[in-house]
Amino acid sequence: MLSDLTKNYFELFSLDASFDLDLDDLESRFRKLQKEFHPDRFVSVSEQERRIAMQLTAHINEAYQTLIKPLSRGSYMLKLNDINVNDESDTKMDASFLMEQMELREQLDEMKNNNDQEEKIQELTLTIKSGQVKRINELQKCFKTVTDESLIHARNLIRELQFFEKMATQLEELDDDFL
Amino acid sequence: MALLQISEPGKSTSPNEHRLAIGIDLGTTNSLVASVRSGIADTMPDANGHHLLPSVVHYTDKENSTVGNDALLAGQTDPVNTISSVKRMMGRSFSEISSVVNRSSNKIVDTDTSVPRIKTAAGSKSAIEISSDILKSLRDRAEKTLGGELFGAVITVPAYFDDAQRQATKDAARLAGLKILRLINEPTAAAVAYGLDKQANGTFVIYDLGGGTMDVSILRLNKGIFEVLATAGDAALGGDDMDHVIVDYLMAECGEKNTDDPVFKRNALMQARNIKENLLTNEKTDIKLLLTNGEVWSGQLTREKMQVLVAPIVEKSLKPCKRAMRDARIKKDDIDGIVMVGGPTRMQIVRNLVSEFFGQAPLTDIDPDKVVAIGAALQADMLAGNKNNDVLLLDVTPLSLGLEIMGGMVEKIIPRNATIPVAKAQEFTTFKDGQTAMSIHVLQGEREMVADCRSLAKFDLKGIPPLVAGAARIRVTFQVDADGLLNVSATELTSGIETRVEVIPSYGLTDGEIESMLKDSMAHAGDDMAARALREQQVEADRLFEAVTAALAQDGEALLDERTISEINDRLKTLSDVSKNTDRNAIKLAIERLDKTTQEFAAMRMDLGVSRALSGHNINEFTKEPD
Repeated sequence: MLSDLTKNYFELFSLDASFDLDLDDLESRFRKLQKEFHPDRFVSVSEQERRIAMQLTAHINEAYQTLIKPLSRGSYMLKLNDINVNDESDTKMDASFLMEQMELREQLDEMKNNNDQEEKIQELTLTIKSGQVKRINELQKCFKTVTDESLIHARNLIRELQFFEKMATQLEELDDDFL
Repeated sequence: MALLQISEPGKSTSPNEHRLAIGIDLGTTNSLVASVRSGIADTMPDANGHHLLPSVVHYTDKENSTVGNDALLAGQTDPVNTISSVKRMMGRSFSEISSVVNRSSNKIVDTDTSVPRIKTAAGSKSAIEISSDILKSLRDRAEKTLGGELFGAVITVPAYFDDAQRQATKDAARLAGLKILRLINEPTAAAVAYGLDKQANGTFVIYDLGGGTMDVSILRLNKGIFEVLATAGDAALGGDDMDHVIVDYLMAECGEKNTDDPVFKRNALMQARNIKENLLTNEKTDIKLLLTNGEVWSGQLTREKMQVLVAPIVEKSLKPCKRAMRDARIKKDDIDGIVMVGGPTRMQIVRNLVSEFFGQAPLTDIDPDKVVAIGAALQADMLAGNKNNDVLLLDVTPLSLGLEIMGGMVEKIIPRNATIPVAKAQEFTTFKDGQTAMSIHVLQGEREMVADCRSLAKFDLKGIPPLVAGAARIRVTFQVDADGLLNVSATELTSGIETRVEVIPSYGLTDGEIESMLKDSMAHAGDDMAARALREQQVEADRLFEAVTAALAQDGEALLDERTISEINDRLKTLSDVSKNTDRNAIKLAIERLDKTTQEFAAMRMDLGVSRALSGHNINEFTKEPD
C-alpha cells in the first residue's frame, strides 16, 4: 500500500492543517508534485509503477481540488475533526436562513419564466456572492481557535454555504439555457 | 537525486538510444501521421508526396482492401464497399449510427454481438476494425519513413469524446499493432504544437472544427504546465454537415431531391467537397452533375450563397465556446490567442464568425490540417523519453460521470472538467429491507435524468448481507486514468464483497473479442504478425528488466531486506533467460511475476519520492514568482 494515499491532504502537501491557506503556495506545491508524479513521467517503467503513479496523481488532484475551494476545504477540516457535515441524524437549520433561501429560490424560479432578466440574474448572483463571502470570513474565525462550539458553528456555516453553492450552480444552468 | 531517474520519462540505461515515436491524428475526413526528426516535428507524406490520408477504406474482396486516395476513387464506382467518416461510428450503438450510415451507401448488418457492423466484400466490419485499417496504413508509412520499429504512438481524440469512443479508439490501435503511449485531446495537441514552438505563456482558446466533430478547449500555459481549464464541444458537428447541406441544395437544384441512387449520392458528395474547396479561393464555381437519367446538369454556386447555407452550422459551434469560457471562468479580455484547428477553419466564414465572437483575429501560422498531428508527435517524442522536456499536460474529463439512483436520476460522482487522472468514491445504501444485490448503472453527461445521459455500463454487486433498508454501505469508486478511460468498482463495506469492472460500453468490444481478432489477423498475415508480437513482448521484457535493475541499484539496499532483493534478482534472471527464447507466453508470464514481486518496492520508492519532492525545500521555492 502506498502510504501517501493514506496521508491527509494537508500532510500530502507538507502543510499545516489550516483554513487560512496561501492558495498560490498551494498551487506551486501541487504543480511541483504533478510534475514529478504525473503518469506521463512513467511511460517507460513497469506496469506496477505506472499504476501507482496514476493512483498517486489522482490522489494529488483530489487533495488539491478539496483544499483550493473554501467550502470543500472547510468540510474536509471538519471531517478531520470527526464531524460529518451531512450527518442525517441532525439536520436542524436556522429558520430565518431557510426563509431567506426560499425567497431566493422563488426569485430564481421566476427568472425561468421571464425573458428580460439580465439585470435580475446579476443582482441574484451578487446576493449569493455576498452570502458566501460573509460565511467564509466567519469560517476563518471558527478554524482559528478550534473549540467544540466553534466546530459546530463551522458545520452550520458549511451547510448554509452548500445552499448557496447549489443556488449558484442553478443560476449558471439558467444562464446555460440562454447561451 | 537518485530518485529523479524514475521521474524522467524513458530514461533507460542506454541514454543515447532514440526511440521512434509517432503522433497520429485520426480524423473523420483525413488522417495524418507525424514524428520528430532531427528536432523538428512534421507530418510524413506517402510515396506520392501526400500528407493527408483520406480516412476512407475500400474493401475490394475477402483478402484485399485499400485505404486513402485509392479508396476514395474506388468509392465512386463501388460505394457499398467503401466506408468513410468511420470516426462518427466509433463507440456508437446500432441506433445511434443508423442516421450516419443512412447518409452513406453502406449497409449495417444485424449481428449477434452488440457492436454494429457494416456489410462489405471482406465480411462485416465494425468501426474499430475499419479504423484499425486506417491506423495500419499510417503505421506502415511511419515505419517506412523512419526505418525501424515504432516504440509507440500518441493518438488524438476529440476532447468531447466520451468513454465509449475513447475505448473504441484504443482498441483500434491495439488491433493495428500500435502501442499507445497516450490518448490526448485534439485541442490539447494543437496547443502543444503552438506552445512548444513559441514558448508562449498565457490563456489560449483552441477552436477545432473538424470533419465530424467540433471541440473548444481553453488552456493556460504557465511555466511548463499546459493546464486545460475547460473543454466543451459538439460530437456531431463538423465539415461533413456543411457537405450535406450543400448536397441537399444541389439535389434540390438539379431535381434529384428524392433519389437514393448510391453512386449519384456519392458523386454529389464529392462535388460538394470540391465546391467547398474551390470557394476558398474563388468567388463562384461552376458545377456539373451526371443525373440518374444520364443527362448532365450544369449550375453555379457563389461563395456568398454557400456561406448562407453553412452559417447555421458555424453559429451552432459558438454555443460550446460560451460554455467553455464560463466553465473556465474567463472573459473575452483574458484570452491571449485563438488557435484554429481543422480543415473547415480555412473557410472565411468560420474565421469571420469566430473573430467576431471573440473580438480578435485567430492564429493560423500552423497549417490547421497538420497542427494536431504535429502536437501529438511532440508529445509522443517527449513520452518516449527522447526529449528531456519540462513540459507537462494536465488534461480534464470532458463530461460528468455518475450513477443511476432512485427515480431515474443521475448522481454525479466526477464532475466535468476535473483534472485527470482522478478517483472519487461515494457511498450508497440499499432501498429495501433484506436487499442482497444492487445494480450499478454508470452514466456520462450533464443532465439530471438517466434517459438524457449516455449509458456507459451496467453491472451488479451481489452478496450484500440482508439488512434493513439503509443499513448496508456500498462504496462505489470511479477512476479515470490519464487517457481519460473510466474504471468503476463497488465494495460492500460491512462484508468486504467487491465487484470491479473495466467499463466496457454496452456496444464495445470485450477483451476476448479483440484478442480473437488479433489472432485472426495474425493467422491471416502469417509469421510476420507473430514475429512482431514476439518482438513487442521482448521489448517489453527488456524495458522492465532495465527499469527494475536501475531501481534496485538506487534504492534496493535502502528499502528492502536481503531476502526480497534476492527474490527480485531471481525473477530478473528468469525474465532475462526466457526473453531470449521465442515463447511469447513464457515471457509474458515472467513479466507478470516480476511485476508482482516488485509491487511493494515500487510503492515504497514512490513514497520516498513524494517526501523528497516537498521536504527540505525552502518555503520560498513554492511561492509564485511575479508574472
